[in-house]
Amino acid sequence: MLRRDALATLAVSGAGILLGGCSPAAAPVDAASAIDIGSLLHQLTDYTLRPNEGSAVLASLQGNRFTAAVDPTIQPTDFDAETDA
Amino acid sequence: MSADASFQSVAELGAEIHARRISCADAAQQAFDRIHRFDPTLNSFITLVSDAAFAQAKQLDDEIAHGKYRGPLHGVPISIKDHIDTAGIRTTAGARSRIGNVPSTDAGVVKRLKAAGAVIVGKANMNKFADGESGDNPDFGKIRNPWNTAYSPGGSSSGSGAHVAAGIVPLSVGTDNGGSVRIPAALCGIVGLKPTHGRASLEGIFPRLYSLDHPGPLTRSVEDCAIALQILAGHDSGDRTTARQPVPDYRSALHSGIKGMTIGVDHAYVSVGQPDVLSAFNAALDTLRSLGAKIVDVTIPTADQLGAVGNTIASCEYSVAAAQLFHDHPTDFDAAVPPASSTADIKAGALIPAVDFIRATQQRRVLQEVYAKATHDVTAVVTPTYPLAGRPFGGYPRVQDKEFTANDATHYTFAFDVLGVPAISIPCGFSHDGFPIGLQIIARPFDEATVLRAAYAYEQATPWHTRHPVVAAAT
Repeated sequence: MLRRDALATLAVSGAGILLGGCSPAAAPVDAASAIDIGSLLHQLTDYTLRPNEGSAVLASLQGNRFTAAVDPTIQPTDFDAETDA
Repeated sequence: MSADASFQSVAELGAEIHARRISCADAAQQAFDRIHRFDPTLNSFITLVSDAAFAQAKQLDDEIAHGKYRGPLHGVPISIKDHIDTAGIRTTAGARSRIGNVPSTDAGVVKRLKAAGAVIVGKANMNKFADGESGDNPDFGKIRNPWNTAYSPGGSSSGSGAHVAAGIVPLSVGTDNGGSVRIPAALCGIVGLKPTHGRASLEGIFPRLYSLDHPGPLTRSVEDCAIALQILAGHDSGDRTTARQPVPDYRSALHSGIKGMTIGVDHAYVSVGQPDVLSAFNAALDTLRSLGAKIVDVTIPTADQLGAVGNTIASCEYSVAAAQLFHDHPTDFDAAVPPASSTADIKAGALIPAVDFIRATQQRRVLQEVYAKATHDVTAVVTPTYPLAGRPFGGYPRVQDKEFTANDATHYTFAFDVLGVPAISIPCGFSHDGFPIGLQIIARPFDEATVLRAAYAYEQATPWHTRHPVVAAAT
């Protein structure tokens, strides 16, 4: 079986490494985390945190992260939507 | 031919112009007459360009008088979503802060439409920054659905949907990255096509989500959609993501019928929606069977799987697009109408680790392959387009005694932006209270011809596309 066939089979069956990341992570948002996110935002971006915005930023971040352990060797060239279908 | 000339199709109006039974100037005048009657109610334009439209129409009339005919769009009035660049015409992306943005060149799709002879009458109101499907723009106001002006036409190509449904123009060009062509099409009772990613140029279009954006036509008939796609499709040297796939003759492929076509339905996927929507979908399956199609079960990736990938990609890409906007106008996202992204969402998108983004793009490749295998033995897949018949402004109604979420709203559409495959929405009925309902037909990458062929067969067998709303004229 080709590697990409194996990956596709895993994804169809919902088994193995692909299952974990298919739902957004959900962790509790607390005040301390909100303070930390302000520091992180300041260090990594041009943005600054507005008053009382930390919890919303953290909740959005947690809701939009894709954290599945996908096979790290997958390259864009492994699948070609133009020709594989 | 439509009894009311206002609802003439592109094909009908184009033939009238070609035969010189109506001039391009008169066609433009008809469009502006309806704009002046109905737009005070619909609020569907941000900018009108009557001087430029009549000048262009005159030139096109001169060309016809001298034997030059550009094709079926020659002299046909159209509108353009206001985040698609138009040379010399302000292009706001639905934001008042960008009202001074006047591009010097046309977007790739606009170049093609103008070369084909289309006459731009104005720029369509839209969800601000093409974000969300509320039809509620905090800067330019609510866009109204011609079928019931207390309701939204959907979004984000809101004005485009309203123009076509109300008979103002027979064609508008919008964009779709979560359903923004197909959802207004469904809610306005018209046709909307999202082509394959890479089929049509994104050059000169506000890059909200660069790997998920798709330009596409909204029309009142499938034939018109084929005519428009013929103009829009093809490689563009200005957009290196456009594919070099050959572009077939879409219009001539319409008439082959669907006898023997195998069409897939994922019944687990088709579980979200109001009872009227699901009933109309099941009735559409019966019609497809009666036309000779074979309906079979398929299992495609779930909306949760595709949404997890798509939300990460969308969040990162929007933060990239929004960075300069935010720098220039920090308050531009403050009045975002849910489910549009808030300032917190933009900031969160900038914090998503690159590792997450890359994993999501890798997983998208896997899911594209899964979808291709799951649909290998079928020619097309069908779903409803939008789970609601009638989209209220503000919050969503409860559906089947459950909370209805923003993810539910794009349950049937976002997945196919993530996959990049072509999908069309066509009218398939009305709810008990008179709201249009859409049927979505999806095919393999670059097989828009099959999408159009199946849609045309269904359309010709049903009466839904012949119904038009009665809009209250301004007094």
